[in-house]
Amino acid sequence: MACGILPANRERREDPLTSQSPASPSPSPIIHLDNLTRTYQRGSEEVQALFDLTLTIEKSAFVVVLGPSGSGKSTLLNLLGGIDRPTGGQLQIAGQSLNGLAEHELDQFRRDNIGFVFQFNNLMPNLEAAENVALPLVARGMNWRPALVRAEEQLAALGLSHRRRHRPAELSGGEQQRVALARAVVAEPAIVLADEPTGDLDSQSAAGVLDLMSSLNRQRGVTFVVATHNPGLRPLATMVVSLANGRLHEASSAS
Amino acid sequence: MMRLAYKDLRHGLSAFAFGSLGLAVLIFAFLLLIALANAIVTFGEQGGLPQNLIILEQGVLQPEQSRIDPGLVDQVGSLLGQQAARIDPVVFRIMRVEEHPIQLRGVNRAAWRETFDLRLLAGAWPVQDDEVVVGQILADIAGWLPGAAIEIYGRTFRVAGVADGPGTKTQTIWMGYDQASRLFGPDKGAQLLIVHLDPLADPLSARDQLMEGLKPAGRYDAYLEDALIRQYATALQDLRALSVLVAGIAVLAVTLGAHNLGWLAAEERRRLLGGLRALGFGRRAVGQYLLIRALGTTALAYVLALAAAVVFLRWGTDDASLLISGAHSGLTLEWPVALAGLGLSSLATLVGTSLAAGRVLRTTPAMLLGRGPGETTV
Repeated sequence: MACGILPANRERREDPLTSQSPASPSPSPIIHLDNLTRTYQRGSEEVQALFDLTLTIEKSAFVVVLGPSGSGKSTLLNLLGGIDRPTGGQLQIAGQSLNGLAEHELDQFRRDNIGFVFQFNNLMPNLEAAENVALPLVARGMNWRPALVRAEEQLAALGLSHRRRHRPAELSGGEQQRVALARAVVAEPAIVLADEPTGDLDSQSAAGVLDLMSSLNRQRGVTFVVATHNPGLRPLATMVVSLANGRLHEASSAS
Repeated sequence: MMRLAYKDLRHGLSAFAFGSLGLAVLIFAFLLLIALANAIVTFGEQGGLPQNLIILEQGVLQPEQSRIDPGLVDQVGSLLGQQAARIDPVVFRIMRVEEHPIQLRGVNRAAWRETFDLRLLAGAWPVQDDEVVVGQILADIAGWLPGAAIEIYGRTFRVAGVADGPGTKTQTIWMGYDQASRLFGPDKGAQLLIVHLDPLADPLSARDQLMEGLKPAGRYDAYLEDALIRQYATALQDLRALSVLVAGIAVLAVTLGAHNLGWLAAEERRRLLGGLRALGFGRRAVGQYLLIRALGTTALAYVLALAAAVVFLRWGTDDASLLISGAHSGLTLEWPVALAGLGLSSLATLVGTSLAAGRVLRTTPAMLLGRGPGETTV
């Protein structure tokens, strides 16, 4: 794909469009789960949403998590993103154990390491596209003005420069999700977690969003973990994780 | 967070306006109730003992219902001797003149300055039989300035001057005793006697002496001037306490209103708040967003309430005062009360919104986002 997805004047990462060489993925693990368990109490009933999951994900991988509804995909992404806590097992991400982190430490962890793309994008409806994209930078303590400059660069890189002043309601579903993707990567997180990112899109918009994610993965070495019902995403994956009833059904690396 | 809150309020104008209006009604009530409580506090509050005694028919609470025998002047003079500097009969009426409730006092003009310590503020002291003086408050409220013609009891009088004196403020028209007697009919007589004591006389012992001397006749009571007003003021203290209580309830209602608005705002935005948390905003930052948003609503509510209170007190009522039997205490909105209203409204908003935000933000970002199956963690 020949889509320029990097903002201009970026120094930290090599631009594949000029270097013609994709970022070489490091073999080092970025995510390691050891007997990870998440149990919920629903009334008097105990629900095991995730059970004894042991898994290692390499840096710069594109992981597709497959499984039917209720298989534990969202729970896994919640735990990986530090927006929920495991009830058992160990969880290590980017060399940091998430077990026992205080609330503010989890906030910091997310700011530094994680980008999210949600099925329903969760863009702030009263903010313009550029302001939405700037939010992770503002969360890191950057002032709005420079954050907006970087956000507009990121939107331009994703082909949305002309939509930067539009609010979400003025964008199509595909454009909204591309803005959400720009928001997820603008702060250059090591990992992007996407939960059914194309679940609410038509096939053409979905293909565009997946292309962008794939490009970001290849060009910037961002690790993607994408939860989906759709087995059609398998070809994009460097690793496929199948869940069923909260248990690991299959974990396989693809070429 | 300021930008988020501003954009949120700006793009949800109708919710913002209606939320503010709901709080504004409560803040408006608070401001008026405190103004009323202050008016009650100052009603009849003059300080010190007066040098004037008032003699009324026994058992009469309203002076206009009293009737004084003409011979009482001499009797009181002989009882007090040198202690009495002046003794004057007074024709006293509470009536409406051109829609304004007034006290009319018909008393010897010489007593105006010596007994009542009136000071001329505008115009001149009356010379002609058809001239009167009006009190300052009445001149302000009714717009009766020197030269104005007013009709009293079917006769036209001219305002010669505007005067003011110490003691309880009343909406008073002053005229000579003879003028008043002719106006209402000589057979109606005087309603009370006013005794101006010598500066060296002790008002309390003079009053006791009078009471003792008048007891055999059994027809008259002697009061220190303003004692009647003080009796009203004492009765009003219950109303004051009630006003303060209701003002307190208004503040509590603002707190609950802010809590409900904050709760509604947080619940409506659950998913978005979860999104902000997922992006790395901490609980405190998201709480600040809700607080700033709520304070914006309260700020607009306060401005609306303050403007409404000022307009109501200045133009919305014929007479922005507490007026009982012609005695006056101004209903005014003073800066300390206005600032207290702002402070209490802001505090109520902070408390109400913090409680609401705390309840919502205690949960995990995943729960806010509605992701995952559970409600509570094991």
